[in-house]
Amino acid sequence: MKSSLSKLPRAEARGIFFLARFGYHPIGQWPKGFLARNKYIWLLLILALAFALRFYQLGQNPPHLNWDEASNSYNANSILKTGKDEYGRFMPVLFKSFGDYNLALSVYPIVPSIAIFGLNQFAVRLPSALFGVVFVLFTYLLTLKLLKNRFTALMAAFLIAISPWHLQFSRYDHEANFMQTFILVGLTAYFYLRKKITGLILLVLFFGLALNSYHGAKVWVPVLLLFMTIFDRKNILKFKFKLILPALILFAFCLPIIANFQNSLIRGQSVGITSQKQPISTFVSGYLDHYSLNFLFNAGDTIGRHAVTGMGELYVFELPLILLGIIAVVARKEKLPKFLLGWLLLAAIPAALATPTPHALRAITFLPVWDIFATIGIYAIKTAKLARWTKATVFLVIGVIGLYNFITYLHLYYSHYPRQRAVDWQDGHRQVFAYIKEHESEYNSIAISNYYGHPYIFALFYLGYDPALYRPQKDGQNGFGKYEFFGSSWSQTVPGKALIVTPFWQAHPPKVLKQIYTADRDLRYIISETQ
Amino acid sequence: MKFILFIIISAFIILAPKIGLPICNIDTAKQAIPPRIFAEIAIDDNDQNVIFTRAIHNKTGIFLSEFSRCYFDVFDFNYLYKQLTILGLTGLLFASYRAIVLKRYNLILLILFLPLIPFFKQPEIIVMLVLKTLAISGVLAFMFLK
Repeated sequence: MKSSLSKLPRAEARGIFFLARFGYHPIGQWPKGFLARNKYIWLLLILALAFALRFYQLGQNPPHLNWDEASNSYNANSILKTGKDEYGRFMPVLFKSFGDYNLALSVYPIVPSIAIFGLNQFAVRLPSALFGVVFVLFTYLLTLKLLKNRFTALMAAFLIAISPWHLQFSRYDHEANFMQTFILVGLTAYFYLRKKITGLILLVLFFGLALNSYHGAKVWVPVLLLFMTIFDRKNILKFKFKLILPALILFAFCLPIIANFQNSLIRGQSVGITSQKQPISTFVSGYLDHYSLNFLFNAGDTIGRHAVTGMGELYVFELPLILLGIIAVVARKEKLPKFLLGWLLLAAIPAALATPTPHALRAITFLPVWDIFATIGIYAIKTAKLARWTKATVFLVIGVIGLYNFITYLHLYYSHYPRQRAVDWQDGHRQVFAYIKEHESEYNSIAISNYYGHPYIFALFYLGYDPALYRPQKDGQNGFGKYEFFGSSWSQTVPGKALIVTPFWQAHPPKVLKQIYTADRDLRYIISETQ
Repeated sequence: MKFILFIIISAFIILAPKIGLPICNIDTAKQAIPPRIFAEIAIDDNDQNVIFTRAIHNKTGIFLSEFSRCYFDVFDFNYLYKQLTILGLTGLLFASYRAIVLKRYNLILLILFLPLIPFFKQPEIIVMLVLKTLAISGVLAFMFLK
């Protein structure tokens, strides 16, 4: 392939940095040697690594189910057994949950997993982990299509496989992970079938699924669709009247949201910036927060469920690579890689429209763009006109730092995280209900403080309470069966022995049966009984 | 017309309110080491290999982590946006890009070493002046160079 250096302006051609030269370097050739003969083995190895990192101790770490996971899974269990959610609605398209009206695909993907593995922590997280592995595969496919280079595609898949940001959200049940996977699959399908209407149909099909999985998609999908339409307008507009079909498909996927418009706005209203005093200034500040180097490479998200403490959302070794990658793409003349730049600039919008910022979960829209830029940076160094030993030294230094970063991450995630962040995962409920399950029959009533929020959902989940029994007797989540949930104080309504669960500092009957400690060795609950 | 626009943008950049950096320097980095190392080691199991613990949790690592926090503070986009306005920030990014593409190593080094000024407790105003100068240069280059 002929080098197109001659296309450069004269001044740049004279003093060009090797990265700008990368922009005009003929890529698309598969490197010769072992890698060339075994390209699919490398991909399989990366997928195996992604699988291992997402499934190892999946049911144990994060240390506990958070209430959203418990709610989604109990609703999935209820759908499985009765066809209705916890509120008795038949196959709903919005799940009321705690009043935030989660979208349909936050619950339905869990149903098959619970049907196979039962109602337990592993089963709840399994779909998310599987989506995580699929995400790695499609990162490979999209990068291959956009950059036409298998080495870069493999590296992108590898980096996303070990990405702390992506691992965090693939290892617990959250619909944001489903949304971003649908988006990625849709984009990949579109770029592979760009010249046919099928590509556009698949794009809107998967974007429609994304719309019905996570609240943030209501912003992210329109933003991305608008960008796609502008970016590829010549190609899209040539379909003319055939565009009606994808438009109808998209409209069909919007129907659940339109039909429940008031309810589907509730979550957005509670976290959106419209309630702020200066929404525009808050938006700009929030937008820029997501490009903060401290957030990305040093401190990460401060919310315990979103990141491990002690490192950023990305590895430090990726920082120079990402900078090189961005510069290389800016310098390129080709159109498709520019799509990544647009993605990078737009990805912060959904997260910036809500507070607090920076927010790793809402900014999951950035994945896998940062990692693709890092791999372009790697390729820029690989193809730079530098002495072999210089390149080898650069790669050695990056490799050593990368390995150190990765080992540190694994240590922080598997050793520190379950203890440091146990409270963020509402640790303690499992131990409480394990005790209660053993002694339930000895008491006439069981009263549990709702100080830590929504204990009823943990009771339903950990006791495996039959949804068909629960629904007819539920009353504002204040109790069911012999279970009662109370606020600051409890007064006995049913005569006989009662088991009381209170936070350790709250007044309780003198006869203490068990103290519940969290994984970080803090006393959380006292279980006591009335005389 | 272009020249008048340039003057107006430059005036906005120059007159943008002075925003202080968070207190983060060599002293705070050193002070953070004992509590952080204690907290991190306290979380590890008693039976964890000592060499492994020392490799992951050590003074150098924590100092570098604190140093990078101070370093990144200077390149925080919110700080730059408030210090330079959105046009100034764009100008700064453009100036940095041009410096890299045209191999202006002295300028690249100036940008890279800038965060060391507050880290070693030198006057912050130097950072502010350099950033504003670079931002205006970037705007100038963007508007007048082809």
